[in-house]
Amino acid sequence: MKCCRFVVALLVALFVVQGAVAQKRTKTVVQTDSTTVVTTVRVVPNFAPKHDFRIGVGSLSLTTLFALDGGWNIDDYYYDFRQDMERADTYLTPRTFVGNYSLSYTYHDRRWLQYGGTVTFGASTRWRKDAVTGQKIENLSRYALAVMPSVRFVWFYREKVQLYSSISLGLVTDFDEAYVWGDMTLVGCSFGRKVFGFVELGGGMAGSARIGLGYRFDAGKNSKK
Amino acid sequence: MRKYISIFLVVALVALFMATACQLESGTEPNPNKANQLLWRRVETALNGQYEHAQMVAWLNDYMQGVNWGETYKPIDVSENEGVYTFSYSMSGDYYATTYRINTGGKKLNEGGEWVAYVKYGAYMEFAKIGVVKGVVGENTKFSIECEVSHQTPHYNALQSEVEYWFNATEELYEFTYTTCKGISTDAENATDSMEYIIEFEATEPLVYTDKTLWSGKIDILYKDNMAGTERNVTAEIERRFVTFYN
Repeated sequence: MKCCRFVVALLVALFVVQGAVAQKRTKTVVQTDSTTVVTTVRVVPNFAPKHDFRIGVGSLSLTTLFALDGGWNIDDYYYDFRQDMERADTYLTPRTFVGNYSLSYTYHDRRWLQYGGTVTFGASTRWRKDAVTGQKIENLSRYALAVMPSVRFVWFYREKVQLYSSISLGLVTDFDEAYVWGDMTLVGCSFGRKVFGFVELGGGMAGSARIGLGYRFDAGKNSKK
Repeated sequence: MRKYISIFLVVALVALFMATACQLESGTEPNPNKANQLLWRRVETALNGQYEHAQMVAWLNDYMQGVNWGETYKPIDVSENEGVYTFSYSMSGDYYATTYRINTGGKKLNEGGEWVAYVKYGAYMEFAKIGVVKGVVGENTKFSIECEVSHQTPHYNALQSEVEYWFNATEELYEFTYTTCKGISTDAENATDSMEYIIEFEATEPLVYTDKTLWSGKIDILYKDNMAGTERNVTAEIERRFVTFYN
């Protein structure tokens, strides 16, 4: 499991790196009799609306910790004798956080504005097992699913690099109850044009720190500035 | 500059991603003997309580015969009034003082005496009846003690033992042997068939408690969970502090 996560991390990192070094600039050199003027011209194409699909994975955040830690009740700390005997032939595996995963779609309506929706899923796993046979007896895993509309504000826009912040608010369920909660990206950075990698720092249902891959393509509408 | 930033991001991303698989709570160790250990602890609590009572009776019995147990085991605040002895091992008024009251009826155990023993745990509790102590005529160091419900030590309801003991005054050591011992333990006042669970135990060989060591001997323990309709039977063989379970 850890090897797979390592490989995925490397793949995303490679996209980030190739995006970071792939900025194109044009340089124009004009020579006169007495001076040499160097002018660097950045080509800024017209903006065209795009569809943006992303898949990402995030670390634990305070929000997901509350949703996935198994909760607390007095039975966790006080058992009567019968409860002790009923559980005596079993043992608990560690509760392990396996990640927050997200799928999102946004529509780039303007250079500075994107909107769409995000689905996140987080999980922690734990089992009660038989002390003699090792068989699983009870599934104590916790899951959290969130479906949230989201808005993204791009405050630095280039064809291959974008810096942005976003906010999402929607419904979250741990399959026992549902409540309204959200997610926020304080700083996000995407590298790449069509296929890109992204890194985000924030908080909420997608995790405190997220990485991922995405694909965007023109929406086919008239370009805007 | 962009290259260095990218390299930094690569390293940070990989480290972050590896760290996301984290353990939120630790697990517990599998222990196939845990149920047996839980049963044994309840039985041991009952035996230790019975031992404390037997020790008090033995001290009084020897005290009346003029046998001096020495300063180590001598209680404080000993008083006697018309055959009723009251003594404690802690200062009167101490919050956790344990005080015994034994009504001898003026007869020693080896004269066929039948003593009624009471205990009070804590300065503000009432005396609760431990049970009846009967001597073996002609034998100073033997008696039987039958404990009834003790409201202050809820781990056993009825415990019968025949005790033989000796005290070595020179070395200030003592040894108790429960030639027979059986008991019943629940968390309720009275043991009946309708109780949630019942722990019955019986020594299959004499149980020996030696000064500064614990029990030696073999005990059969039967656990009945009347709500779940289950039974569990285990034999505990104790040698000093080591307990081996046989199912």
